[in-house]
Amino acid sequence: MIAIYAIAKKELQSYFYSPIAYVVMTVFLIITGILFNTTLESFQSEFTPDHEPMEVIYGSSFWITQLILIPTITMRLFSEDKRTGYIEVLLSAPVKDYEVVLGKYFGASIYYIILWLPTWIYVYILFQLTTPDIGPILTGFLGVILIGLFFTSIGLLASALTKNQVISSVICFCIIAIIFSIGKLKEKVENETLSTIFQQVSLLDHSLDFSKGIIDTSYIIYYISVIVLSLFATVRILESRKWS
Amino acid sequence: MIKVKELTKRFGQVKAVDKINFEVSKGEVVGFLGVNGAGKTTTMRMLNSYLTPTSGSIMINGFCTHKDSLKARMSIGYMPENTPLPQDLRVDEYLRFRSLLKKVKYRNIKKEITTAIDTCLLGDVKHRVIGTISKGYQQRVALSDALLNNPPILILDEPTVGLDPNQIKHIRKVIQEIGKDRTVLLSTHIMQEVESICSRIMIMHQGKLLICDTLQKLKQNMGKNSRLYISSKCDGKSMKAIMENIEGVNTVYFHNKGELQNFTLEINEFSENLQEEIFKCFVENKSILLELKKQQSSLEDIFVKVTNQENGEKTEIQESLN
Repeated sequence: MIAIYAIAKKELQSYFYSPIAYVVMTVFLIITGILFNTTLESFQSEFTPDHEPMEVIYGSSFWITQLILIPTITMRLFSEDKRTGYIEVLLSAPVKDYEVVLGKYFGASIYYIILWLPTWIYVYILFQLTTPDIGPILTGFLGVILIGLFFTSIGLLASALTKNQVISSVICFCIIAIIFSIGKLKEKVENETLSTIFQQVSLLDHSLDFSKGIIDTSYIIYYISVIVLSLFATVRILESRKWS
Repeated sequence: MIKVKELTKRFGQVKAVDKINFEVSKGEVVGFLGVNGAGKTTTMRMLNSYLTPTSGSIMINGFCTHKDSLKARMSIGYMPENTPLPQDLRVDEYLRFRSLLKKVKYRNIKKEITTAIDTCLLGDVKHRVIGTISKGYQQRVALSDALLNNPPILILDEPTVGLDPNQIKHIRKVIQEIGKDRTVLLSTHIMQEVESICSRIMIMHQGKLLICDTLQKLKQNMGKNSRLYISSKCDGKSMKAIMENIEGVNTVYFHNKGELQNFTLEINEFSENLQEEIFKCFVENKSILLELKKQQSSLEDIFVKVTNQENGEKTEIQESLN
């Protein structure tokens, strides 16, 4: 447990000691700021939209931020250590491989959550202007965190695959893009089972549901399964150095 | 402390390490030599459980690296070559992180870090970011990391590469100091380093362990065909012919250097009798003997000889070593 804590803390420190944390945070806040601004403007227009104000950031436009955030957060986790050779130092310490994987995963996840905290400023502004329904905002935020943790695990897996950070981020970006957009394919295929699978796997509707106030346990089970699977695969990749 | 039996490691078709056996006991500083690609680093990686052997066994401090990997790793302080370190942490933060990983007791962490920092003279830079300090300091940070939690075995892969002469001197002193009550396995290309701090030497070549002996014995064995150097004032050619007839002298090389006539004698075995014989020769011929000394075969000679013998002929690498 101490090892997991130590590695998670070190990862978190690394984010904030390097410019990455601040660059990512700035870009992220600019994007969400623009989204929030346009949302507020649309509410002031004649045709008031029929959705909740935070639904744009936590729901319909959520995929944009995910595509940018997750690869930049996760690309260096293992790739950097593999490139410099630090992975050897790390694994020659008396730690288990899964502790290293979990430590890095928690470090990245905590950083991801920290990134989303400033969006509560928007919620605060909303409360100053009007009386929004807090329920959908909370579930929307829960969705943001859960889906983020889901993709972080995939990003971690991608970074364990290669020494090259660019390749790792591209792999991660592609997987996120596919998972978000695969739902669109359901109308194109005629096979019913395949169409259902595409719909179930796709996350685009999930974030919308969360931001409308719906918590579907099947979603949560799906996320947890993929997270466990990705982390397990990452541990196996680390172990693969020992296979002969 | 370290027991290695029939250790083999294959990477696909390539045998990186081929059935090597050795033991290192407590208080020994062992020099691990070999040309690049000889299998040293692979062996070290197996010792610290980073890689698993294809076959064979390794016991570290009584623990098998396969079954009791964690306990075996607890007993090892490892410093890899090129000292990869996380560039954005501060020195003391990094050492704290490593202490936590190495399961140093919470109340001892501060003490351990202070000792490691003092031993490796890192006091000046302990609050600085690792990426901003010099290579020499980074090297010492890696060494201090290996010293954390007082491991009974230290495995150091080229610890003095890239250091200035003063730092090299200091690091060697530290290693010697550590080696008094602990086991140190030290890989290096610097023969002088091995001669000054190691009590035993292992030479690896093409995955095989060719030599595992004390430096003294090695020199005795390898140095049997040693050389004598003579500087004199005489008639070179006739003296050469005379000396060639002395028993025990194999070959005489003669070279002029102004007024001086210098000889190099290849002899079977060095003895005082032989020295006397040669001296008498000069007296009888009324020649002046200025210098007569034994040329000790250096570790470098031994290294080149051993690795060449194995190859049958000189390879490019060994040519450059010459």
